[in-house]
Amino acid sequence: MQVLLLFSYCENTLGFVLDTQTAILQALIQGESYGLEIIERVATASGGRIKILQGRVYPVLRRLEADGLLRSRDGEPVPETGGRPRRYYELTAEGRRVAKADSKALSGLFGLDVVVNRA
Amino acid sequence: MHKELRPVAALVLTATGMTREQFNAVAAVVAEFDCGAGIVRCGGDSEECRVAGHGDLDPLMVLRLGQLEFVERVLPLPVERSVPPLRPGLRQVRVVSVTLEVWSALLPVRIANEDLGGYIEDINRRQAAGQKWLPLVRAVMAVFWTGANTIGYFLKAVGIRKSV
Repeated sequence: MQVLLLFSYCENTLGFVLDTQTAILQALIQGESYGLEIIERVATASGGRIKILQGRVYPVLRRLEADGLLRSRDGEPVPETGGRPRRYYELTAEGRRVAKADSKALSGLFGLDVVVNRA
Repeated sequence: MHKELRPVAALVLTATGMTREQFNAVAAVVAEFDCGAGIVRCGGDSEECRVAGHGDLDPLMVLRLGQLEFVERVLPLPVERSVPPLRPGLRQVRVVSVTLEVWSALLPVRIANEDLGGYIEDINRRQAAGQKWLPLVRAVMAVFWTGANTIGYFLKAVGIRKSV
């Protein structure tokens, strides 16, 4: 059980536990995106110090959508995915509010901007 | 003159343009080889050459599979490859591709499109970057994670688990 719980968190070297949900919400402040690009956004914005497990990102995206924080749409099939459509996610109004609250809390907690990306 | 020759001799002469004397020398060196379609035996005399099992052989195949090094040294053969050489790692690419396609048929549509599609995109990028083994590792991870996520998906569907 503990092993499974560990998969819920991002692998990072910042010295604190940042959950996947928070990282995804912060990455999506930039605008709509799909799973692999979200992972890259988080890695790029954190200088490679935060990595989201690819296997974990999709269930969390679906959970955030079920919770009303994200909405999604199917894109066009692309050859890169073997002809499958990408699914794009974007923040809902509630999701944006939660993301900004997280951003503010993290900034206040650490006294500096450790958040992945700020709008 | 060619009409008097047995199949192997005629085929080799036609394919290489070598002289009868050169062929005799080759036939003396190569005693027996497997061309894939049957055992080809060449005795010390070209007139004794015969094909066991198949008389209709591709002469280029005979030359390639027969490992006629003697011919290659004496006479550069005008043998051109009809098929380009396989790119290194192409076999792994095919194995990964077929495996994931079969696996995707067992998954719910959304997971097959989204989760597995993401993994396939990642694998394609790594292969394009020239990585050889990491794509295979990623393929194994794709099967593991999509399997695990499918279990979670169904558990949620039947109400055992609250979130995916």
